[in-house]
Amino acid sequence: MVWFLPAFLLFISYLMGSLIKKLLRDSEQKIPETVLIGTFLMLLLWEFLVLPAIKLIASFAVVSRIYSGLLLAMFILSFIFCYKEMRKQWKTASIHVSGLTLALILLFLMQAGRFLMLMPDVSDDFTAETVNTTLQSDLIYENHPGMGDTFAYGITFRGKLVSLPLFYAYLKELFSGGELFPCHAAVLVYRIIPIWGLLLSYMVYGLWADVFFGNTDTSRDRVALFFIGLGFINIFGAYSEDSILYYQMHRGFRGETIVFAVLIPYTIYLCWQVYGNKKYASIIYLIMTGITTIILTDYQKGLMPFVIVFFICSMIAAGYWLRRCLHCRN
Amino acid sequence: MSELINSMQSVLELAGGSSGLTALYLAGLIALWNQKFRGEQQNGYLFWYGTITLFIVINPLFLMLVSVFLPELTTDYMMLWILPVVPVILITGVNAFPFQRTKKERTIFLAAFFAVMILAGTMAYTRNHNKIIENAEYIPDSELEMILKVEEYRQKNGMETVLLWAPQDIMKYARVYSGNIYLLYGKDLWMGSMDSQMHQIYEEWQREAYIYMENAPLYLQEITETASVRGCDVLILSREIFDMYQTELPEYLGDGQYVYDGAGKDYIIYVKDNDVYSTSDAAYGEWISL
Repeated sequence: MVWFLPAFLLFISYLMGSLIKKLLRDSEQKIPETVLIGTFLMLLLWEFLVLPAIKLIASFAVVSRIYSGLLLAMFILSFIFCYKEMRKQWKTASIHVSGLTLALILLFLMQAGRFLMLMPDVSDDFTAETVNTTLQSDLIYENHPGMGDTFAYGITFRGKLVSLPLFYAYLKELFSGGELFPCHAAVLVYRIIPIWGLLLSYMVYGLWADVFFGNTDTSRDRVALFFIGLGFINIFGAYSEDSILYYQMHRGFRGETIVFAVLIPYTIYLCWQVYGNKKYASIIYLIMTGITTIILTDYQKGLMPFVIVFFICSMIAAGYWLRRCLHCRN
Repeated sequence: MSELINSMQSVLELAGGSSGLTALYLAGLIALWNQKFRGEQQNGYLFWYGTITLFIVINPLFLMLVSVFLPELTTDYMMLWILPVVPVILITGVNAFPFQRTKKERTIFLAAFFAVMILAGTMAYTRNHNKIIENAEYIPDSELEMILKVEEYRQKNGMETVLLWAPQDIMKYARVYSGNIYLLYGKDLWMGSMDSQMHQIYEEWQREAYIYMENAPLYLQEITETASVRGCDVLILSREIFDMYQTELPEYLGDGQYVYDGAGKDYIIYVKDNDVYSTSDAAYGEWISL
């Protein structure tokens, strides 16, 4: 059961993203962007449910049920309202199979294989423990994940804003197939989630590839080569435990990894869309991306890098604008 | 001045990787600079982003500000991760590919490009970072064996939760396996605080308990007393530590509060004596044969 999780997450994100795009009247036919926006919406909805539940010391099972209902409602709504757009999107999308595509698939499988076969770096991590603790106690951030008992002091409000481990707990609950298909927290967190993160990362760089190489028949090989390079650098590039490449391969389940491997590159892309392509609907996506950083990790590790990146991109755009103004005056 | 340059250099090394990615990144920026003047706006955007970010992150003033106001961002030098090292290297590499005209040139170019990337990551090949998992639970076999015994004990006795006290190698995995196994203290006791937003204040008895367990042969009396007072259901002792101290493993602890219930490759398990399951003849027979 749990092996279907990445596909399920991508599918549900795609449906939710389609709904958002429909609401914003964004007609651009990019499947990866639809999935990314849907993923952020999925996480934001989760956060909006979890925060009051923490305040009310509500049962985790109740939050899960409400969230499942919301997902189902979104699922139905997107089928009703976005069916035409989705059909059109899939009609225009094409898969070109060449030797390079096969190499790319092979490299992706090699990366996924690492999550399957190698021990992750969990030395200072409580993610899997938090999943088990939440499900066992049916409470949200009330018990110490390392002991199971209630906290002597607790988690600060800032810490409670990070709801990603609770989202994993929800996924574990959803994908537990009983005795027949048990879903172990470690399998979900250390094996399945990094694959999902990696797929999201590929989607963001797919958008980058569109910008830099175009989406034409002649550019396909270059895009495939770009992805092959990405696979190589992910597998072989870790030069230090302090690098994002190490995190990507050994700590793919951590919020920081998703922030720096998915959200930060996506922010740069969105800034390009806003400043370079004048696509102002991307401002909404930019805001969603910023808020999502808070859900994934501490604001100093997520929101602040987002702000720094946004500031640098804005500075560059201002520089270009200034240059254009000076040219006009001359 | 030299100190300043040294600090900038060390940050740059960490930013791009000391074994080649820095060079590739800088070469990539130069290539983007060249392409920028060919009127490709997106290359200019990436060039300026890469350059400005580089100058910001290797700036000692930025490092100082981050360490004062955003200390969390200094964890594993995360402030350097905003550098677009990966896209700059890949985009320039792929853009250079069409310049190779013959098939031979293209093959050599690709081989060289990927060879440099393979050589760049020094950590990717170390044994410590590529440990193969021993089972699907991501827990070493000898520890998992004992954790399964604890779970079996819990289920056979119809307990909702079980309080376990064991050496740190078991304690750090027990709750990864099951939320129903409660512990006397968490791994943050001996590893230090793992999350600045999560505050657990351990009491003195917990710190002492950790010392007792890690030096079990010297503190068997204290272990029994603490376990009884705190209501531990299961105790696990490490064979290795008893071998190290050249001490015999006890058949029971205290005046029989905790009795032998089974053994694994590296550990011995004791459970509360008032339990039917734990005092089974099978377990006693197993002890005799040890």
